Amino acid sequence: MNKNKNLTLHLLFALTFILISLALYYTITTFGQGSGSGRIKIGFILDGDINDKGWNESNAEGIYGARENLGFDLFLCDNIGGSEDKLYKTVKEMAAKGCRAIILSSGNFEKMMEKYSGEFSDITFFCNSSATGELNFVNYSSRIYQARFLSGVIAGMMTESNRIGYIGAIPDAEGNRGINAFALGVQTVNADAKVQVIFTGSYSDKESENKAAERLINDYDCDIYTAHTNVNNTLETAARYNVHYIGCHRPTGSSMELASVDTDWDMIYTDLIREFIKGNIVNESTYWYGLEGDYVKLGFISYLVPERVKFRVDSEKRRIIRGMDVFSNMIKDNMGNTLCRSGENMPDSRLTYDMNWYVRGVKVIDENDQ
Amino acid sequence: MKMINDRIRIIIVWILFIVVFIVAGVLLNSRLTNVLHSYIESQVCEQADRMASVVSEKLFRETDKLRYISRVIENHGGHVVDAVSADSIHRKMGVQTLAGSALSGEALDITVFQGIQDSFRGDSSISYVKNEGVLFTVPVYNKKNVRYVIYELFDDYAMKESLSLLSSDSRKVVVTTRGGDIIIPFSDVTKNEIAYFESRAYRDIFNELSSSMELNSSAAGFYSVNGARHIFFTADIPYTPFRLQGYMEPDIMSAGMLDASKLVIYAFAFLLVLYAVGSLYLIIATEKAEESDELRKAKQQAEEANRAKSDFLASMSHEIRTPINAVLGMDEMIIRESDNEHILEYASNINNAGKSLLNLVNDILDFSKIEAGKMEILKDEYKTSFMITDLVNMIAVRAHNKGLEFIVNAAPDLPSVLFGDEDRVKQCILNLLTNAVKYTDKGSVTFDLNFEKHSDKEIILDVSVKDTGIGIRPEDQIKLFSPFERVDLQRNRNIEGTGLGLSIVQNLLRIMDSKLELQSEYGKGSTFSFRLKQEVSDWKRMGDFAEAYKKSILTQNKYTELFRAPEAAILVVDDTEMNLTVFKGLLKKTRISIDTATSGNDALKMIRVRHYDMMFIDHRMPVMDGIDTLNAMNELEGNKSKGVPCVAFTANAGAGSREKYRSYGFDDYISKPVSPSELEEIILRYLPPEKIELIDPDEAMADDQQEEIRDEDQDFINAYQAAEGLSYNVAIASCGDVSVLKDSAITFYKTIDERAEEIRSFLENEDVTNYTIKVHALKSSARIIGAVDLSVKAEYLERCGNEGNLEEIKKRTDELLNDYTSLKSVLSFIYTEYLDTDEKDSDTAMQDLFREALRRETLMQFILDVREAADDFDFDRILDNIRLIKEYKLTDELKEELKRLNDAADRFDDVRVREILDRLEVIL
Repeated sequence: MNKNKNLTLHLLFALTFILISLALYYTITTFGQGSGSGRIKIGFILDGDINDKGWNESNAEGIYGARENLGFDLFLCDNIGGSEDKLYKTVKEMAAKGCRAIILSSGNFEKMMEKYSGEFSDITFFCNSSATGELNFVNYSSRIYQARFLSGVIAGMMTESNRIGYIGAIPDAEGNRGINAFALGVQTVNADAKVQVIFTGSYSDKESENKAAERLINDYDCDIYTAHTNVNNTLETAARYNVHYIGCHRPTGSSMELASVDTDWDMIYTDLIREFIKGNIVNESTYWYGLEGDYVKLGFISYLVPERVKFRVDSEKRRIIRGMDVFSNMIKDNMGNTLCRSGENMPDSRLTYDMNWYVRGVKVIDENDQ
Repeated sequence: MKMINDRIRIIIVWILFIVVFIVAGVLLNSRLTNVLHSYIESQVCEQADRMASVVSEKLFRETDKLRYISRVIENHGGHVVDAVSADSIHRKMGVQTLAGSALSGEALDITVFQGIQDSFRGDSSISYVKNEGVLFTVPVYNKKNVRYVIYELFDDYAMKESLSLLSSDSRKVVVTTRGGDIIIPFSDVTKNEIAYFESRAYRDIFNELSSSMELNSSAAGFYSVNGARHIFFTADIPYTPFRLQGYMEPDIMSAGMLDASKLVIYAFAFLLVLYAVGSLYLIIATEKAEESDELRKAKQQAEEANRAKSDFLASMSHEIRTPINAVLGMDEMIIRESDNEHILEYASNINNAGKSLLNLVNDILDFSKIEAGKMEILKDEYKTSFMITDLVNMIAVRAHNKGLEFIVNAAPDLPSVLFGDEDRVKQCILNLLTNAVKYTDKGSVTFDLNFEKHSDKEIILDVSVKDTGIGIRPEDQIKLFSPFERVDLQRNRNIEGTGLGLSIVQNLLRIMDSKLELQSEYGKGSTFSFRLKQEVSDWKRMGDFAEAYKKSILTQNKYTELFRAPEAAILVVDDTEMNLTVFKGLLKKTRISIDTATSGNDALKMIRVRHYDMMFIDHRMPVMDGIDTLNAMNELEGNKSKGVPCVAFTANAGAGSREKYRSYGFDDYISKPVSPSELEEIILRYLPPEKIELIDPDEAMADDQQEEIRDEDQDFINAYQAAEGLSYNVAIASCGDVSVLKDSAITFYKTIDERAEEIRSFLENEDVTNYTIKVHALKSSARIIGAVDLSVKAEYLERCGNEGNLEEIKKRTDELLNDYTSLKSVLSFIYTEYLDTDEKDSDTAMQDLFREALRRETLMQFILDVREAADDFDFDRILDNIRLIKEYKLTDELKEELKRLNDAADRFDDVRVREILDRLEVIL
């Protein structure tokens, strides 16, 4: 009996001792530490599915990479599609969660968000290829047009029919910039070649894209074509007609693919968000990342592309890096007007806001023109 | 006894308190210092940010000035341009065109002065160029496009004049690039101080600060350099690629606050001394009262007596061992030399009895060592799987002989390498296992080994041995652990032993800070268990112990065959002879008998004739693929190899391959090209263990070293490395050694014509399926001999075949077959007797022509491009093109011409450039 009582006493003593020691330790070590985690919150919105093997997937991989590099809190929402209501609700939710910046990774979002910008005036919106002048909007993008120019060089040198197809999505500044850069690449090496463009009206519409591809091949005699869409949807059509294809985003692995134009979103989002956190981003400004530093590149060149073509591509790449960018020197539109004179360079602002023209050699095919 | 306990208790409590005091003091002091430091650092950061904004404003004032000039030019046209010039030798100012020339001032190289390019894109910019200075640039528009860029370049002196901030004696500041190059040394900073800013120690500090700049605009910290303690700080200058860096005396910011932490140290030291003195007094007083002299003496005597007994036992046992060993030795001689059956039987009985006796004596020796306190624990690294395997090997046979089931449950998550006394741990477990087997007549003995993570470096091993034996009565359980006691003597009369076993275990465990626990129900069985702390050397999972054991033997040395299996037979089925050659070559040293078949049908014939221990079957074969072959084998009557392990070869392994092939009925898969160690591993896993002879790794190594590289092998290697279109490194990586490579290359060489013809005829018959299988095979066999380009082409056509793209295949196959057959002349050096001289000459000639054409095409492009550039007077582009073409293999003549071209382009001499181009065209 006595023994038991003794044991309880010992235990009680040891317990008190440990508890007081722990309390002392906790008080000392936590004293004076600021509250709150302090990690910045960033929102990221995509129009399609993050596993689409195309635009959305490569963008999502990019932002995940940036999060790994920088360690911020990420709120990501995909599959918004064209729904303004859904976009607004998502932005509102992200604002409520305390996001200080929201990245709108799809070109069509900024128009939908324009009228709400006042409501979220303390949030910075990063718009991919934005063309609005809202106070809290920042324009970011890759100079993917530089890679399209290089892919145009390949197409121009390898076409036999001198007819090259281009499946465009929407004829806005971003879409036209790609077409013009591609056509300038073609024209640089082959003044006789023509670029035939069909717009599908959407960044992801498998059926229309395949229809457009068949028309380009059958009705317009194209032996090489490219597309500027979210997903490389027409690979099977290309294989069926044995026509070469220039892809975008990640290389597809198809035997028909000659080259792919690719952007390293990981590097771009890391740079962008790092500067934002440090307070170096100026609203209403333009942040574009290009060939220099490998932010954009030809991610893949097939072995079918002959040595001499690769040589020319390398040489043109050096020229661009040396300061002779795609939209410089003499450029005429397809009506014969001079847009840029020798010795001049189009500023980024013009590439953003003033792109409702097509360069020489581009023919846009009307929907109803059968 | 009680007195000692009390004393120990008091001392423990006393030490505990002192430890807590010291720890609390140290923590408090460091916490206080940290809080003060971070407060001061944040103040310094704020100050640095303010300074940085001031500098930023000053810099942008210069840009504003340039922008004003740009407006004037835009409004009044080009003729004002001449007015743009600098008024000081320390500043340069000018107007630059896109082509790189200057309308006024000096032309700057656009690749060095990046700011000019930024402004051609429409923005004004501020940048720094090493050794040149700070560059301000602003675009000049012509309507919508940028026509010119105005720049102003400040050298160090000019920057200092127009932008200096004052430093003071206690605060030094400079402006630097993000990389740390000093741009603006502030006006009153001396040469010594600049040297200090550029010193190694200083740079290290700023590199460290810079790492926290990743996500902050400023950073500050306390550092000591050469004994002097300063606050160092750095801040980004907003909207520029520049940074502010500097340091200051801590006193200015802290105003004596840092002394507060000294106060804490003093106070704690006094408290500690006070406590120590007080408690020491109390302890001494208690001791005095309780301890009595008589008790101490009696205890001493008892201890001495006990020690004498142990010493006696120890020396006696040692003496007994010597004669037993002699008896056993002699007995061994009898066994070896006698043929008489009876004598052999007697001798082997002597042998058994002698070994038992030796065990008994060893036990006694261990026990007395423990008693005398001479037992030492010797720690070393050991492999968990080895220990378990040893134990299982020692017990399994005994259990089996008694008809008992022996179950081993070792947690696969156990760390693979531990640090402790393996022998002692093993002795403990072995004793428990031996006892369990001894006292169990039927049923099973179960050995469980689990663990619990204790800390980052330690685990607690949880060992338990359970039997279905006779069990122990509760009243006997206490006696069980005392030495020499044996319980339940009536039932256990016929069981031999000293009764020391458990006592030894218990004592060993005590030395290793553990204790033995027992749960037992009389008549049903007992469970002995203990928990033992062990350090961990390698946290890697042990996995299944039997596999881990095999694997660790395999990986102890890199590629050296670690087993032989001359009794074993293996069948390999693959339609590509190359793969069969490599397979045989890789396993030559294992002496396994290997039969090969080149089709599923052949294989079916062979398994009716002979039993194989294991089979490897290629997945992709013509007519009957690997899966069909396997299914046919399973249904075949008279199959002598029914149910033996079957492994699939595949060239397209990916995630989930194992599950896929299991579902087809294979036991496993291996991917091509086969690596030697993977192949051996898979054979070790599936071959019946009784046919495998493991080899001592040292011995195997020694065997290997004897095989030096022979001269002719060296010649072969040299020739291979020189051969066009073959990569020796790729080849040797897939073949493992030179002789296998040689065999493979010969097989490849011999089959070129036949295989090429097959591919051609499948194409003619438009049989895409078999065509694809053939190019698939070519892809892997070309890779084995290092013909990488050919392999890539074959892979492309395989892809076309899978997509059913006949048109593309028709278009490209000729090129593939050309490359393929041209390898004949390339490979001729390994097998000259297969080639008569005429044939050889024409082949090489064709090969040269082929290469020539490739180069000519690129060169033509080069000439075309350079001509175009010369027409545009774009000499930079010409130089770029020369740099690119120089990356190719060139003749001396060509090199000479290119040098001349380079010089001409350097001098902007377009006439000369065209002359040289004309000459180049003629050469071609």
